[in-house]
Amino acid sequence: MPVNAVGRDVPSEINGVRMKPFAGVGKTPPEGRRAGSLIRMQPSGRSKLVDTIEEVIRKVGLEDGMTVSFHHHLRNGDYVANMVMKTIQKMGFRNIRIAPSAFFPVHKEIVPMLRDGTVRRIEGSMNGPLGEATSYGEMKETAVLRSHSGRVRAIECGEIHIDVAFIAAPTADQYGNLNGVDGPSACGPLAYAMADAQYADHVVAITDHLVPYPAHPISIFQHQVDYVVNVDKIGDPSGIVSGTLRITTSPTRLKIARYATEIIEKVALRDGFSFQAGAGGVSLAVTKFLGELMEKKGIRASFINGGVTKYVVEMLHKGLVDVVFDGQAFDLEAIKSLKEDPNHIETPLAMYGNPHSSGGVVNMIDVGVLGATEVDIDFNVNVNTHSDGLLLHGIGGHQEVAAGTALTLITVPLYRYRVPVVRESVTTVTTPGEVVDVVVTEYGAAVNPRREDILEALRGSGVPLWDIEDLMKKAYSICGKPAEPRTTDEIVAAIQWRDGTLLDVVYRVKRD
Amino acid sequence: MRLRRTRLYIPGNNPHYVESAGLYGADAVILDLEDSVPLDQKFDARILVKYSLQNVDMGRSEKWVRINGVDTPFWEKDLKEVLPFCDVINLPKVESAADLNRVDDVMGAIEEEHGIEKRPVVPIIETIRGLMRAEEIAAHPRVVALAWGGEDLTADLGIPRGKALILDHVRGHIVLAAKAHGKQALDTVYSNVSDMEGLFEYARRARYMGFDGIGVIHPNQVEVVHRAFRPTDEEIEEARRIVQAAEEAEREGKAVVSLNGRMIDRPVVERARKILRYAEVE
Repeated sequence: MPVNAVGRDVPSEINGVRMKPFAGVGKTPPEGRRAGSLIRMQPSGRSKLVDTIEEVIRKVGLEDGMTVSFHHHLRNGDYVANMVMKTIQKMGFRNIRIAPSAFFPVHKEIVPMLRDGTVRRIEGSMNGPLGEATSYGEMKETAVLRSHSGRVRAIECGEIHIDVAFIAAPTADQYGNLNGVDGPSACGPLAYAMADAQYADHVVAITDHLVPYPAHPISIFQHQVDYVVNVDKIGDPSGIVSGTLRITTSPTRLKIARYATEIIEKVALRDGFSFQAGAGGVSLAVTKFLGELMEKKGIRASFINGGVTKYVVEMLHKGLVDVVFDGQAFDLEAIKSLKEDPNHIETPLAMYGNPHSSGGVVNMIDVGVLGATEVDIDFNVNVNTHSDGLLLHGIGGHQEVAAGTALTLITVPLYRYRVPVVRESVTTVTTPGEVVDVVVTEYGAAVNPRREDILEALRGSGVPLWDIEDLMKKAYSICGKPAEPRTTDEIVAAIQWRDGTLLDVVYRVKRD
Repeated sequence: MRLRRTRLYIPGNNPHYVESAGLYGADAVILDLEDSVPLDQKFDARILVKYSLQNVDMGRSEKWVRINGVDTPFWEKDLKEVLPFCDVINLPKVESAADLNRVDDVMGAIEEEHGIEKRPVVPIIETIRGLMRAEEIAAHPRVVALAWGGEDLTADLGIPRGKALILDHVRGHIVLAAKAHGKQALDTVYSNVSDMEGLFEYARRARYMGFDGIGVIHPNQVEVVHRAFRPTDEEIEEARRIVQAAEEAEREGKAVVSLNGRMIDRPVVERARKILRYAEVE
């Protein structure tokens, strides 16, 4: 097996498809032309409305071995993927490949379909039970994980060809204009589904809020949508958005957030700066603290890219930021703002960060604050597996933000449940250290030696500065050296860098 | 004199809290062997605290241990295990100088045995009897600061804690007793950990009452209390002008300090110096 640029042994083929080893960020330029979808026609007068999912599956001509896709804007409240996959299972299809943008714990109903042959593999993020089942070797073929925009790249270049995209639509009209800002299952943007709508051979919208033509605003347009199915419910609102996202009260996390805010203040805070917001505990606190600091200092940001929450919306409404780019909404305030405020803009994932395009929003962001399950002394970051080797999280936008932003902070506790987070080598490389600038813990920060400018800016600040190896030693002195995961040599998942090269693989975990 | 604006209480029987106690920048960390430790865990907590004091990095925080009171069978064993490794002994339910003398004897013997410096004591006055003897307690040479607790006092008086108007008098009494002997005065805790505005007001009030610090029971309270004890911008500006005038007078060999035509007394200069010390800490 070749060794790639982050020192990992990676195979040259996954699922019979050749994959190049990761050669370094920006070292593998793209080749060829974009792929295309099937050309179809819709004569005037023919209805797109179909009564049931079973009927629509017949109409699109699904066959064994084909690829279907779903988006994850409904997150852990999604009913659509389970609904469609159970119908596919009932109809007796075999060897289906699923290419979701992400699956959540609610999608555990798909686990038995890995065992009974309905599904041969999943290419997409898997948060929770599906990832765990994959770790234990229950998937027939090898899972492939891509970042959010890496997935769009793969769709655009034909690496993933979607036969049928099933798009959960919180609002739809009978001719296939869709949005996510209205209806009982409102989720905000439909950004994750836009590439699917453009590149799939067949596009099916599934809605529980059918409105008279034309639906408006429009996120996905009618000329890309072949069928509309109206069902009782596409999701559970309590799993889609949070009623009240609260700032963490954990003193450790708040300490990390305060250090991160101070680093941003010293290195990047100036009029017109921009940052990536998120909904994780530390990220939310940093957004709030930054907002307070900007207000105090009279600083205005040019844009925030999100992961949008009420804290970002408040900043927009207070005039602390000119524009909000929105790929995902996390609460009701964010959805309302997207619907009503013209400066709150829905961003297609291709625009957000497809590396093989003429430039994404991430390239224009100054500061990104990200989490991790592990970080190592080469600044490599793992967000996919836990230290026991189990695959439990997707890549999300981690790679995009790290590669694009001028200042990438990884905010992590030094250890969790007495397992070191800062360690000699990460279990899985999700993001290579060359695009990670600072690791921020409750004990202080370690700056990547590549970034002397940051180190210089932080001298004399209130943030204790560490050599990353000393930070690791501190973690080991408290918790002891972490045990190796108990794995076999069977590869169960591939982790791609956003350009499609192979960054790492995940090995099968032995059951106790 | 060492700053003691915040003293963070950490239950001595909880390793998770103990190991991160030094991270939050409290002026002092108190590893507690008394009220937060159930009777059947006194032994385990004592050993955990003993080894934590030796192995856990407490950062810039002074290391205190609240041992059990002299009315319990635990205090001597507590002292024997922890005294060599801590900076200050926090002694609850002190009612007289005699209580302090008993503790002083045992501490002296341990200090001699280990060849270590004398450790200071911060007694906690929690009863009416103790309050009435606050001055003799403050006068004891081991004592560097007086702290107080309200639960037993209000129970003795039969008044609900939140409505006990007499506590303002108690606070004043503690401050005056401590200051009469040049010791620090430390206020009790603000127990609503989610009310940061209330905490700020409480700490500000303690400061203007003459206290040098308050107790904190959650790490998130530390920063708020430090902010409350930081002199205001106006206070700092005025103090700067006073100290500057005093320095000029000294240079010019003048006996009287004056600012804007007003005479400044010596205590005013001392207070101004203290304000600048507090302001410079952050």
